Amino acid sequence: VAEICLDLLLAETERHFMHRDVQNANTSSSDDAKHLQAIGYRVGYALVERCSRGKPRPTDKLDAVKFVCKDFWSAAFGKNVDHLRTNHRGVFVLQDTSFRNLRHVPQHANNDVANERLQIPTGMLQGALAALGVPPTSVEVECNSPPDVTFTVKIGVAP
Amino acid sequence: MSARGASNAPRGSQLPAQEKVSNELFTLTYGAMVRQLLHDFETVEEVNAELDAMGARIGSRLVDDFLANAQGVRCADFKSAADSVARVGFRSLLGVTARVGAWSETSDAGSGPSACSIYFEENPITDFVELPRGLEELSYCNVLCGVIRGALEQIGMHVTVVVVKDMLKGADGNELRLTLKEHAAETYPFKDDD
Repeated sequence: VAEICLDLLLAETERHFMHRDVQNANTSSSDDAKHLQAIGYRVGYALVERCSRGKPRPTDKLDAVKFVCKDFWSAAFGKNVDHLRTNHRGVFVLQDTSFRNLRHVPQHANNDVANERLQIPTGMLQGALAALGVPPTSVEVECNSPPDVTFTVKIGVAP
Repeated sequence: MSARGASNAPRGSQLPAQEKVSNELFTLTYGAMVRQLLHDFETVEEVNAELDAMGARIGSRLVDDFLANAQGVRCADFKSAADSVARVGFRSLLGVTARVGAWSETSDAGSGPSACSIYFEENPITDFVELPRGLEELSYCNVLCGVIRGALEQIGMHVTVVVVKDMLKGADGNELRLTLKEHAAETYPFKDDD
């Protein structure tokens, strides 16, 4: 499938779920973000099941996160994570300096634009980790200059 | 059925190698999106309509990219446009082989056929998909109809596209029926006053 098909599908999905609140005043934009994350969650979950077939199951958190950084990331976003940092207490920082889903976002775009585009990937990351048996406590995403993006994943630590 | 006019087939025309993403990722994303729509809307008809509308918006943007990259694709009349959609569009964008057939005889205007069908056997968006009970009315591929409609609308052809056969519903192949309603390029200039 050509990449542009996926790009447009994602854009359309985001448009649909983010801009409904115009017609429907009682949904807040955080609800919309939740919907997008829910979509991402299912994608991430199913995708991990497919790309981890026939591979040993990760034994601990670090293993699982490494799997996400390599196998899952390349299946989902076409490359590996650029930097992985961890404090060895359940906080992992994943940095991708050229995140595919942001490659059409201009560098000085309004933060909301990038944020919108990052809801589905955030959900995917949650779903992926859940499928590997280490559901994250929280996943936060930060993007200062697209397409450079940083995900902060907390697993098993109180938020 | 086998109206495969070899003469004006865009045989040599194809898009340059496109960036590819895995079918799985695409299929899963679409599936998850449809599921969320089902969750949000109350009736299946609304979901079908929304899928079609989303497809149309995708199509209207896709066509720019398609025409910019395509070499030697002709879309001057309905026949060549439908041919391009099926042979070049389906192959390079979805990676499936589609063929056109069942041309209607001649249209009222006498300018070639005004309806045709696109047949294809593989459909990447329905991999791993099974329609559960109670959702028999869901037209899962409606997005494709929308895409074709939206794309052709951008080049001045107003068409209706409906799913005739759907492998998800047990048919032996997929068939989309295109009907040309109006070819706007021929109706210019509009009259300003009535």
